[in-house]
Amino acid sequence: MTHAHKQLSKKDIEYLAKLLKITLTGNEISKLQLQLNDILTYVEKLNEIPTDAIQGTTHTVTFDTVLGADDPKDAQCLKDLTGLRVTAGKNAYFSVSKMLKS
Amino acid sequence: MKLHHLSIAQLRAMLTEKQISKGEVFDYFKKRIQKLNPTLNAILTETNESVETADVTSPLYGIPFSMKDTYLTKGIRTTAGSRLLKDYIPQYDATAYAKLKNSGAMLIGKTNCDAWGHGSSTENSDFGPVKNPWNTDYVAGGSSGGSAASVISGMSMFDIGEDTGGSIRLPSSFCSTVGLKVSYGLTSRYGCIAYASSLDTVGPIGKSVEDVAIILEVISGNDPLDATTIRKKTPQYSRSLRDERKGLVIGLPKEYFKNSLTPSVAKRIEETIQLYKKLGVTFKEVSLSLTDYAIAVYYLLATSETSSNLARYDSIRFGGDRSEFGEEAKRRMMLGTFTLSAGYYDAYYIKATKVRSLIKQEFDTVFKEVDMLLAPTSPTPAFKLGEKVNDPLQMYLSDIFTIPTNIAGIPALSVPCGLSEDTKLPIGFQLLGPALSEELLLQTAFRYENAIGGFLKFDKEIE
Amino acid sequence: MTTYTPIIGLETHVELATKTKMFCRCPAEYFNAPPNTAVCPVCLGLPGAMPIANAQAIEWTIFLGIAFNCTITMRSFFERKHYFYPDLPKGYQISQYQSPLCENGSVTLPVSKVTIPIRRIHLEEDTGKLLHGNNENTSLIDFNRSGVPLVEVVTEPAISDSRIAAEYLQTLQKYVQYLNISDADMENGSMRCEPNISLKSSSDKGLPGYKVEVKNINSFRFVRKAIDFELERQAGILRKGEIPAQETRRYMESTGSTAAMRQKEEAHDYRYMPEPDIPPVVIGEEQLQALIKRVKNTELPHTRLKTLTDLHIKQEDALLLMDDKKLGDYLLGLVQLCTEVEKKNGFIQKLVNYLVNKKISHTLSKHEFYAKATALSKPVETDMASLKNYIASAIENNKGAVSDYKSGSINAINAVVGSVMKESKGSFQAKIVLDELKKALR
Repeated sequence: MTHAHKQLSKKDIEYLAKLLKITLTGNEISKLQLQLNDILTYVEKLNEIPTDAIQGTTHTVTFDTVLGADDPKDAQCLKDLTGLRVTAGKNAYFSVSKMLKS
Repeated sequence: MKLHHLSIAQLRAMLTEKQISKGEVFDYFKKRIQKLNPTLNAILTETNESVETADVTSPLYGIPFSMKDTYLTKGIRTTAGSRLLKDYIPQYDATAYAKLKNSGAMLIGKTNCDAWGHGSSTENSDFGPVKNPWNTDYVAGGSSGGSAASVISGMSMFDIGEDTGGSIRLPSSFCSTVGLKVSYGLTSRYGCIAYASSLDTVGPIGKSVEDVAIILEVISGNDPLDATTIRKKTPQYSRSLRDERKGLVIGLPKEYFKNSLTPSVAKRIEETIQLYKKLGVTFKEVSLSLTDYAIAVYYLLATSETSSNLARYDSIRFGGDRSEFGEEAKRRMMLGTFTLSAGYYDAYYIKATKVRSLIKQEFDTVFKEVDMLLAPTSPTPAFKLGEKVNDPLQMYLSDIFTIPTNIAGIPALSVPCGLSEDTKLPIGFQLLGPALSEELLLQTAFRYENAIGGFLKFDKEIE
Repeated sequence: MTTYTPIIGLETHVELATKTKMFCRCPAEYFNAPPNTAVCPVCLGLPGAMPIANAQAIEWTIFLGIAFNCTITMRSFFERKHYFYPDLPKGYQISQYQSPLCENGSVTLPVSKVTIPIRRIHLEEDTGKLLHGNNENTSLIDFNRSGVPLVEVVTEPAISDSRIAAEYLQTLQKYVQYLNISDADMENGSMRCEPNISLKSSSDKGLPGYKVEVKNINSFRFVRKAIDFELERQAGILRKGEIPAQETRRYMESTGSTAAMRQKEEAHDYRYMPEPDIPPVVIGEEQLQALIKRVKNTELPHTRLKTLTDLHIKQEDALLLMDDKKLGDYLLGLVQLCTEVEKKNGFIQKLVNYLVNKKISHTLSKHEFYAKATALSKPVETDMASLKNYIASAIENNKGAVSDYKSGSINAINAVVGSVMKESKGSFQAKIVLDELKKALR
């Protein structure tokens, strides 16, 4: 990392909360700020390891490409939506309040 | 007769010989749940005896088991330890659950855990923490705390936990069960509520090594519904259990034996080493210099993946509102989202994936010199309830010996090695091996178990 | 005087006509299915569900890349694109960002002959559909469409006007139809286009510092209108010395204009993360060569155009027949039935005329069509004996008109011609009747 050691501001916390669609109280924001900055300070130690020449990996197991054949007989379609929040009646829809969309 | 002290093989023999019926077995464990669970809080949802589908020759016929409440069980409430899912009834079965049903095993309950797998003590469960059966002032470990507590206290014969950073092994060492973190991809994650998809593993918790081997045979193997599962055929783990590798060399990674080890833990581990030496095993000191960096890698990658995996909980199709996420979930999601966010992705996420590669390479290099590694599962035995809740970073550091194996995708088996002298709380050691070396790890643990005449049986009365 | 140059890029989504969805095997054909009946844990985003990528979708995407001369990425992977929206059940869309399946290609347009550079072609999944609810405050969601494979084709911002944009879209549509990977219909949503439009001032050194994306366009005609409207609107702002806002606008069919979208611009931090549940897609050299071969052996729009042009039919007919693959297939089938002589004497153009003008229906079998066409194009044999009878009869019955004609009233003959036509119920060609009648009255 070539930038200066990052510490989160309250604005940063609010931005992250917005991206996550979670609401935080003022207290929570302060608390999180302290705790997350502690952790960010801790993870700075990764800078002690030179990695410019290293290829990062999302997995440490080598996989073969695994693809599914385009065959509907392998479908796991749900015949029954019991337990899910669908409208009653012949046509089962999920619904959302328009205000939630934005 | 204390059925809960029997091994799977012994109980199956009784069932096969019709000394007892499936229903009687199920009732016995039900009664234990009624007696112990109000105190221990290990089981969140009890289930009824299922309709008979498998025949008496099936490998786990009639054996009552529990599953961490992160496994989807159709028609049976599944919460992931979170109040956001407190009323969620799944529409399908996790593959591991389906396999166990097909093998004749009977689900008796869903076990308590830290919400979403986030934790090392179950103090992050929205349904109250699990008490350690050995001393109810102490934690059972996490995140699969309910799993280990249920098995050792005899509320179920075995459990399927989930290990992302130590969540099967830590509770196993705190509660004195055998817990296996499998090689990544050995068992199917389909239907397991995801914490960190590149780290999560589905594995057994049992009272003996042989029990764990039997369960592993049932749940391991390729699943066409999980593209990260192994393609090769998996071995019959219970068959090869009694094989003994000649000239076994076990490495002792010096970074796991530093001064931070509690003396009581150091003592039990030393006794374990001595015992193996008597069995003809050679030990060699090795170094895993990147051990201290694994936690930093974990807390960037696991939190990134969990912030992503928890995005589907938007209360539209099922479940509660996002405001029902607890403190720990919020904390991890925020850290994860930061790691992935524009401008920081390279410095944090990519950096962590690079160190991940190095950690894997380091294990690969060490495994050229030794067959496996031995280390404590945890620097300490169980800690007291409430002791670490206010310091998240301290809590994260409890996973210091377990996290590296998840980062590297390799297997590790936690084995009980006695109680601490002072507090009489269980201590565990772990055997770490190269990818897909479960057979060898199980064989080696089996030798230890035989040499000590079997693990401690749990007999305490719980108030 | 500053001049403005349009800088237009097109981003098009094509829904692949695979049998199953992109990351699960639910049926992809959602058009008439009752809501939420083609759904499973994966495409509903239920806890614990995991994706399995559709091999056919990947193959078809590579076909398109090959047809557009792209470099095929031999090791690509999927990524999660995070944002919240009710039609996106996982809270992220599985897409590709760093490693699109195909990159850096081009396509040459048949009419304008302009070559459009293609920046990238990648695969992703479609979202569910939002519908109006019973009351003003609710939206309904149907997840049947969630997970259907979408190919995203992105051009470089190298399109200079709306006519070229429309031609590019039509060409893309044809390629996709010829490869038989999608019906690419803009009206039913299996092809969706979003132009990115900006204007470069002659005084600008680099590319413009803004771009406007337009959504909600569902025909080629509207693409042209939307682009033309935007270019005008943006020029107006630039002339005032201001810079148009970088935004997404919505095309309004009723007014032919675009409007700013009411929603606040969301922070576009998608936090792309490699998809951990799907192993990388690795294509071997042999595999790639086999796919290239298959594309070579598939008829594509430009090869079809050449085949048609080589028949020496009118260019406009060739383009029309290229455009409608089924009709073109039909014509080529008819050509197979032609003799060598017919192939050279202009009979093929006649076939084209009958087909295009619908004088003979293409619902007939090719043999029937050919037979009818042959009959129609033969010079008609007149039954002279029969004609002579009718003429004799008409002369008898129209003595007055005959007398007028013989007296010098030239047009009087028409009445007699008319009489022959009427009595014979039009079995003779009028011109032949006239000629014979004239002979008879000499």
